Amino acid sequence: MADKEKKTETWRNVGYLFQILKKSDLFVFCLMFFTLLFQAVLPLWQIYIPKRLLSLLISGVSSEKLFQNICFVGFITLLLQGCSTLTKRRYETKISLVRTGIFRVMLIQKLFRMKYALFMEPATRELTARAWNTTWSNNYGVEGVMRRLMEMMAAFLTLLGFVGTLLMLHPLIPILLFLLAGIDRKLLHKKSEIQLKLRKENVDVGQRLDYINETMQDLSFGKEIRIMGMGKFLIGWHKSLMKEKKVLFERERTDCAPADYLQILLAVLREVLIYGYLIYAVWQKGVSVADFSLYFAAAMSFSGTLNRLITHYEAFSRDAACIEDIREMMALPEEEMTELTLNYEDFAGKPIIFREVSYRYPAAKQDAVSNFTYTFEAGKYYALVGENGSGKTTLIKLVCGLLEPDSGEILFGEVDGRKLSGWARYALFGMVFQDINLYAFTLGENTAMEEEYDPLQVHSALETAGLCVNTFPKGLNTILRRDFDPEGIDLSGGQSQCLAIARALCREGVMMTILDEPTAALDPIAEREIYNHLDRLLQRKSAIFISHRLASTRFCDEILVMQGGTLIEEGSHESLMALGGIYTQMFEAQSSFYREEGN
Amino acid sequence: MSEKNGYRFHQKLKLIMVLTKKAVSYAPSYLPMRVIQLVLQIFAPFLISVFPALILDELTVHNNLQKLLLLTLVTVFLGGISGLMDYLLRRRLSQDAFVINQKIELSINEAFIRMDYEKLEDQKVQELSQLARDTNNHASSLESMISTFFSMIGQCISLVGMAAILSRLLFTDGKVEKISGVVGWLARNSVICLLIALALCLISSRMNGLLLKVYERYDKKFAALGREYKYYGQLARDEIYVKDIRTFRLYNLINRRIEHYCQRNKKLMDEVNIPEIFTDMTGNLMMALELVIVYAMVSSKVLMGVISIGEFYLYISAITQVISLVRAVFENKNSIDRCLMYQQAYCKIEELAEKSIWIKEREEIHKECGNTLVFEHVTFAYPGTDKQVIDDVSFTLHPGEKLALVGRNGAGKTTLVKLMLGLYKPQKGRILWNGQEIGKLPYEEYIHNFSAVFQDFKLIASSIAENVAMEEVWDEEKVKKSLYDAGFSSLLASLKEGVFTQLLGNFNQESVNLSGGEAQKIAIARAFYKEAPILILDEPTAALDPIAEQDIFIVIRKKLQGQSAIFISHRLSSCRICDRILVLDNGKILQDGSHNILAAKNGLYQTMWKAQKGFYMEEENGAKYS
Repeated sequence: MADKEKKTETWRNVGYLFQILKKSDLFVFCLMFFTLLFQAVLPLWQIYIPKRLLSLLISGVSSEKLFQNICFVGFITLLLQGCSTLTKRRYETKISLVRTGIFRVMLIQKLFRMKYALFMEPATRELTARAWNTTWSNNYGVEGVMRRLMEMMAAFLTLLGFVGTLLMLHPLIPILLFLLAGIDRKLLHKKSEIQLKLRKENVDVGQRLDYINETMQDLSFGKEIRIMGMGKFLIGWHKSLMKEKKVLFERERTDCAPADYLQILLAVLREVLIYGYLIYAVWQKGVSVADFSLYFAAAMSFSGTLNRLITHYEAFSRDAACIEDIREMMALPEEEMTELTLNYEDFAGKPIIFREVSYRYPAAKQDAVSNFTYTFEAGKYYALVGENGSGKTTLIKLVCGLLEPDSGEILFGEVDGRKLSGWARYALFGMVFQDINLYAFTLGENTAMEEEYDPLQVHSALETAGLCVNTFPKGLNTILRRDFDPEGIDLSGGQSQCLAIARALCREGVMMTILDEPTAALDPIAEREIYNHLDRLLQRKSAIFISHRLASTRFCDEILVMQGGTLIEEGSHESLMALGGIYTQMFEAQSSFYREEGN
Repeated sequence: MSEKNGYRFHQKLKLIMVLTKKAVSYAPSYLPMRVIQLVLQIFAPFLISVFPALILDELTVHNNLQKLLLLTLVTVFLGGISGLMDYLLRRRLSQDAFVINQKIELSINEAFIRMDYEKLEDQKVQELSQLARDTNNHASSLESMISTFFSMIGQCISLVGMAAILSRLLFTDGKVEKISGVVGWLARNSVICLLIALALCLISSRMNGLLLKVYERYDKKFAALGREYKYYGQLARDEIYVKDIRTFRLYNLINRRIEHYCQRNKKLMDEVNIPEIFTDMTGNLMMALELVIVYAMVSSKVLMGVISIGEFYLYISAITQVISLVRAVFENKNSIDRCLMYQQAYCKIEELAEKSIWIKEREEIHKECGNTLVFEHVTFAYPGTDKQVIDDVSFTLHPGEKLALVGRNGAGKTTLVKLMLGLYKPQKGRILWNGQEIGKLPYEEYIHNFSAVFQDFKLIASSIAENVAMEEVWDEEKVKKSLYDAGFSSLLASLKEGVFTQLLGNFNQESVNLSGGEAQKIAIARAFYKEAPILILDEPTAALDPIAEQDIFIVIRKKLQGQSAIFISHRLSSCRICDRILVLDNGKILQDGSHNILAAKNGLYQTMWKAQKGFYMEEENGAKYS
């Protein structure tokens, strides 16, 4: 029952594949058809050649006629071979392009459109990894399905040709051959079952060995490998894994041995059958030499072709099963991407209001943010402080729309946050994240995060943030990172930070700027520069700062202290110090090091 | 890689011998089994083509039943035996192949480790590393090269056997009656015909060889495109980019880039199809001509009565086998050439590993107590650049001293530390460890004295304990203590599997994803575990909150009683626990002294201290900054 279900699954997946192809590229079907046609016909033609010529020779035809025939045969062979190789090459190119140009792009687009919370879930990560793997290789996954399908159908047609030929000899022959092949297949399955049992362990060891090799080849591990003994550790680990693998090999060998022997016996039996009957046929039934060669070739190739067909089919169904992952992934819900052209003027000067907002991460035991109520006024600077895990980052993600509250509401002016989703919401905020990612694009593109941008605006944003564009030879067109351009520039930690701030400045129509550890990588003087010119940077739009360095709280209008997802203290720096609570504790801890009396 | 494969035949042979010896040393049973398989391979063509044809011949012409049965039995029996041997060998050989390939890959990777650190930033080395990663496909692996080589030998020997069989066909040239016309000509000049057929076969093999060279040219372009697409894929899949992509609408830019890539990819693939198809067609043409010639020649012999109709099949099979053997030999040769190309890359890696900027002969390290590090007029610029990042720096790090390195971004702090750790070599001046120049000391013993936590520290996909201890056999108490000192114990208590918890989800296993701060604590614990005389921390608390940071500093002050330490930090508060502060500016040591002295003096340190302190000290600065 499970097998039958699997079969329908396989073909449903293939149907899904075809639907996608139909929408983008019909030519590939045409190409597949012709490729498999020629692939199928060629072997049949090749076993026919000796028969044809032998028959001519036996019938004592004139030499001219014979040579004419030989030339004719040569010509047809050339034609068939030519068409076969041409179509096969084009088909292979085509399916490779389909894989990279259609399917991979499809998956990438989907990843962009997925909701943030969904994206971060481990189950989704696993699914996307699996779906991604189907578009990775030439031989497996999506391209594998296309390839195998063609080979399978070609082998099937060829096999039909062989069966037809052998039926002329005796109907029992193909039946017996099928039978023997069936038993052979059963033995093969037994062996695969054994291999399957060991598969998990084999895969585990294999993955780890690959990981170790990759890590040792990863040049960014260079320091740890040399200085902290990671090199020795990896080598030692490699050696233990090889020992494990050896044991696995031994087990596979001993377990598969009986099946191996039986398979050989079957092969011998098959040969005895073929030779036996053919000799009998020529001897007793007067089959001609010419026909002998035809039947012999057909019988000998039969098992090989049948084996190929079954192998292709098994690989095909394995690859087709992977398509299920693509289907599942494409069925995931998406973010709202339509760019509602908001009138940003409507939002200028409006507050952002949180009402009883709670959020819990999937599989978490407690709320990350719990019943949070607060109003962020326009034009004010807010500091968000608290330990790691107190909910600061979650709050930020709720404000800008990466996460959606489980309960409660967030209002932007009078507009409910739920009405503003996706890009419309993101556009209201300028973000400076803690992890600054530089991309292998130009400086201008890295700042504007667009391909087309206003150079003047970007230039001034960078200058304001403290990055002098003129120090770069190609200005805004300087390529960052050296992934694809050996002359690419790597920015220092401080420069990256300035770039991150400039990114936020490039935003138009921003309601609020959110800065998460905006000066962590800057030296004290540069840090002070930034804070000194905050107004100029932020243009008096509201801002939320998260920083471990309580230095940032000194110039914020209001400070929010979070603990365990709840807001426990709020107020200005002076009022909180007067309160003598958590905030005071944290402040004392940090400033203690700066006190002259020492500790 | 358009560098000419400058190896000549005997050099290639030598290389193959050397590599075979290496392989055999990894798996001793390999060689005897390959030899047995070789013997089987030699007989295979005969089993496939010659024996069946003999049976047919016997059947149709001579009708000797006994001989017929004997032939059939022998054929089937030999087929069975060879199948059996093949099965027995195949598993063993694939196991040995796996072991050999893994050990070779390991030795290459060890070469990367032995290489000078500065080489790792070289574009050429990065390309080689990429190549090493890409050739994980075993077609170009060492072992498959050896097995191809053995196949080639087997095929050559088979050819000799086949030639013997054909001799009867061919050496009846002169004995043929004088008949005119094409038939006669063909029957008389069968050797020439065979040679023509072989020549055609060689032409197509040569074309295949040329095609491989074309592939080499395209390989680089495809590899570059592949890396580019891989990058875009990473941008889409990695968690670290996810926020940027949404909040900045970065997907637009990436999509445009991908579109552009697809166009270029298609163009390149269509382009490479042209020489492929051309080679294919030439090959097909040659094959068709061979077909015509061979059939014509053998048919004419039949027409002449030189051979029987039964033998027609035999000789067609034999000649077809010869042609395919010759073709196989050349394909194998081409494939070996291709493998050699990769082996060349591997040899290059080994070469680079040996070619060190440091001198070869090392002195013995003095194992005296007192761990003093001295910089003597050290000047350094990164390889390939002119800017002197370190400019005439001299100072001494005394045993047990806690030193802080401060300065603006780009002043040279991290570079100084890298020089200390022997990652780069100073252009001028010396670095001395207990009086010995570090360049002359055995590196492993020297680095034993240092623990370092950099900003870009790395964790590996292993358990927490192994990440801390960097050993497979570790001391549980010591691991727990190191984690405790690094401030990790509360999180550790919450983990189900404790120190055995797997980090990073590379394998299908339960693992935990740590935040930046938590990961940093593990890196710090790692440094503690090593218990080295000198501890180096480069921005060790950047990702931690103030309380955690304070805890670490307290621990360090308490714990590192006898050890020296070097801190690089922008949080000048860390300078308070240090005995001494070095202020670097533009690669020079501007100021050197304790905090109290430097804070009182007018200078860079005072400026930075006041700037940071100002945020905390209300009394000094009154109004908040606006």
